[in-house]
Amino acid sequence: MTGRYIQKILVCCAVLLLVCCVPVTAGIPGDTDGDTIVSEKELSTAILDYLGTADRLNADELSLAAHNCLHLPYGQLVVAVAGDRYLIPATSYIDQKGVPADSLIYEGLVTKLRPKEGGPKECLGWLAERWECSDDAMTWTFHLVKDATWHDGTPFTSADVQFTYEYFRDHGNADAPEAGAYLVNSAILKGVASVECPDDHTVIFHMKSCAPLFPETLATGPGIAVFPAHIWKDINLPSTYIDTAHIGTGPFAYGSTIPGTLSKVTAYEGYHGEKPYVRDIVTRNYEDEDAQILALKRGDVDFISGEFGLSPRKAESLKNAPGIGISRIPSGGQAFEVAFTSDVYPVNIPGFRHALSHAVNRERICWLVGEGARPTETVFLIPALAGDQINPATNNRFNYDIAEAKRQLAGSGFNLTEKDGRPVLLGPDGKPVEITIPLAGKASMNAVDQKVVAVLKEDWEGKLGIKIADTPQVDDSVYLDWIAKTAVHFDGMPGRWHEDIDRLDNFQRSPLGENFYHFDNATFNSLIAQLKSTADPGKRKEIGFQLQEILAEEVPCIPVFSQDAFMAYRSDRFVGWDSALLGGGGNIRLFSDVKPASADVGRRA
Amino acid sequence: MNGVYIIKRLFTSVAAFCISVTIMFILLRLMPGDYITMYLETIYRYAPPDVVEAFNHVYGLDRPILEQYVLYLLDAFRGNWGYSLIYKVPVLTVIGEKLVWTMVILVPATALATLAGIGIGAYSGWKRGSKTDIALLNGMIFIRAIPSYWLALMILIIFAYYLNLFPLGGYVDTGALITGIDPLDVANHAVLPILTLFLFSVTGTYYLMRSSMLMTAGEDYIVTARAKGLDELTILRKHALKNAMLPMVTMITLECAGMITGSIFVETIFSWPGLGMLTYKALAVRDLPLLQGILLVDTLLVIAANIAADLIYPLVDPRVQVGDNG
Repeated sequence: MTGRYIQKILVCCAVLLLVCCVPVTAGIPGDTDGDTIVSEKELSTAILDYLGTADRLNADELSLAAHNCLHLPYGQLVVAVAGDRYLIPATSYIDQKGVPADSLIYEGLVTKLRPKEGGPKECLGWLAERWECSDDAMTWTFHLVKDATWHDGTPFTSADVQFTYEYFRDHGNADAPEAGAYLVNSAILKGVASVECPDDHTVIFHMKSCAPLFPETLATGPGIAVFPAHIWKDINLPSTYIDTAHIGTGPFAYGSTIPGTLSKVTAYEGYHGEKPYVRDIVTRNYEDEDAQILALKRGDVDFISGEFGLSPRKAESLKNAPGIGISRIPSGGQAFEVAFTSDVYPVNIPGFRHALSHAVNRERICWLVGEGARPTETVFLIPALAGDQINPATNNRFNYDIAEAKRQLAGSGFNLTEKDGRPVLLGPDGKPVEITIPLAGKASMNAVDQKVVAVLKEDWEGKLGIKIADTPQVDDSVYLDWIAKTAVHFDGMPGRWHEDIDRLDNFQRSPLGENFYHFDNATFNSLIAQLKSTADPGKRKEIGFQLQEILAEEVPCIPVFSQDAFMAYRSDRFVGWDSALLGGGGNIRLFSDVKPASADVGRRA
Repeated sequence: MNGVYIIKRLFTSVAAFCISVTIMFILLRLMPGDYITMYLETIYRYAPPDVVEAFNHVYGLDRPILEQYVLYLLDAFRGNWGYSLIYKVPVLTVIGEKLVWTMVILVPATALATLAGIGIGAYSGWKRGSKTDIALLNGMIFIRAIPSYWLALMILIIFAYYLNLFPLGGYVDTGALITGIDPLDVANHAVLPILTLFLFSVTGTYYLMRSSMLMTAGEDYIVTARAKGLDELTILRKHALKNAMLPMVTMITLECAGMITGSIFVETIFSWPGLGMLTYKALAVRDLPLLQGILLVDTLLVIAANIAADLIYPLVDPRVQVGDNG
């Protein structure tokens, strides 16, 4: 240790002799080369400056440079959220889900990483440093980090993981006599048969059936976080338990809360992973998105994002605002599709669906929706999310081609005629084709569904003679009932529904009942069953390709576009916002990588 | 006012409460959608039917509707209003917490709006047809015509953002996380919500007071007072205002009760964690126990306001003897 310090002093002395005229630039004080890291050399230069050589940094800026150099947490980051459910409350956040995995306080075993386009999917370890499964994917072994402790100093061990599984298992009975004893998310672990802990840092999950995606299951939306066994062992009613301590293992420990408006977490010194650069993260509740934007512009907060990111227009309005940066996550928002209820006339005729697949003008829709909308060229999965799981042979199969659409319609028994100078499509029964498209659900966000209808009307009514008789605005809660009886509807689901071949089970006729599309294809159903019992990644990919081929042939839906997600931040106060965001996990990685760049944030706390 | 009247009044109030509770129970159950389905659809693409069934079983939502109603009614009287589905704490606790914050902005806003509405309305009515009256009337019509959401947003943008005079939302600054809640800080945060609520409320009081004053100003006793040579201010203060105030009693008491939920927009724009925002959230996620609780509180407040109006009336106008038939 002493040798290390002597080495550091020698480096500093050498730097003092060598460096005199290195200019100090904007960004993190002391960071002269702009790599967002204050090296020992740069810190030495800053000290020289402070001592009078150049008099460029003041005491606060020097303190910030030193904190960044030594990787010590500094300053306060204020994050705007829309709703007090995002605060770390004094009342229970446990809900029916378990401890919150996206709170920065708690961690799961793994979390998901956003894949590079065309690349493989990856998970990132939180409390597990590595993991492997048996050839049949019936057994998963997780090797845990060895130096993790709970925020109260208790060592984290495999017993906590086993406890978490058993806690969910024991609170998965809806017939429990006491209200508050049931955890909805217990369903996520229902595929686990048992858990064993051969030592303090190894956990083995024995599955009831083949579970090739078990780590992803643990990390999805936002996933299962590990409970501290020493605290939760005596709590029988998790849904009504009011936790005031919030003891986790995450990079931040619970600080304090002002109910309904503010909560604070503080960097945990004993964190087992890479320690954060920011000392405090304050979450501030602004219910209204416009108020959030004003707060960012005025400097009251440093970071804003919505559930699916900021709306593109609002992100656009912030683009040139001084001191504000915009971060764009490709396809990080929703993915929109025109969906068919496959057993309702006229879309129960495959040729009709095929025809319409060539009558969706994605470019025009994206132009109407605005910045951040990118046309989808695949049959369901999104390239930015699903990586190499996309079957390239199915790309561009639904290209916009009205002439082809007309040919397909004619080939399926439809007859395009004219009445009063307007095209009218007659069905095989000789009657004009009319459809109703209900508007509601997640596709209604930012009025996307209305924009899609406007474009569809141009082509479907104006060129193909399909009358869109009605577009009723229905309540979200009855939307599912509506789409079951109408031929066409829109969907705007979060990107995570389009990120993996396993998600193709959306089209499987499930044991729970009809699927969203009333799609029923025996080969498809059988392949999905096969996929779920296949562990080998190569074989799974092969099955996934076959499934996508069936979708391209059967067209139960027409993917239209995916929406990039936008976030806005104070670039004059913090840097490092470009880190890869996690697909389904919390923002732990993001806030761990962000570094203070202004001494102002140190004066806040 | 006699004892029999009070007993009768209490009895009718209880009956009104029971009828309101029944209507609420029916309406809330007629509302499409439910909490667990909407909650699960944020996690899964479909709400798994077995999980929905299990949830409904745990919360007794699968019991016969009549059984649910009887339990609900009994529990309402027992003070057992259930647990909020989103907050996981007793409904009364959540409502109690939020009601306090609503009162922080509602009481001063209503008091100021009442005083200002009465004062300005009385003056406007007394000076009927004058330039001041016309200017005031048109000003009030203008304010009334502005959509409440837009007005709140404009006040936020102008006073908080451009002029930088007040905070943009919430009820405390981040410093409160260390120092605790400072009443002065709260007051600073409350100014804009109070101003907005004041503007919403003042126009109604103004209209009624002006109309009341217009009617009073034409009464014979006002002419007599003038003939007696009393100065205008004395006539206004001692004769006109007292009589014109009578219709205001009912209005003010009911307005106090009504503004509780009328503050939804204001609380949302200014991120003020009161009962209005709570109502909006409970409605959005179909938190039935919480919605029922809020509506019960509203019902009780309206009933209480009516009783209060009855009791205050004889104090304002001795000619009125509540409960006497003759």
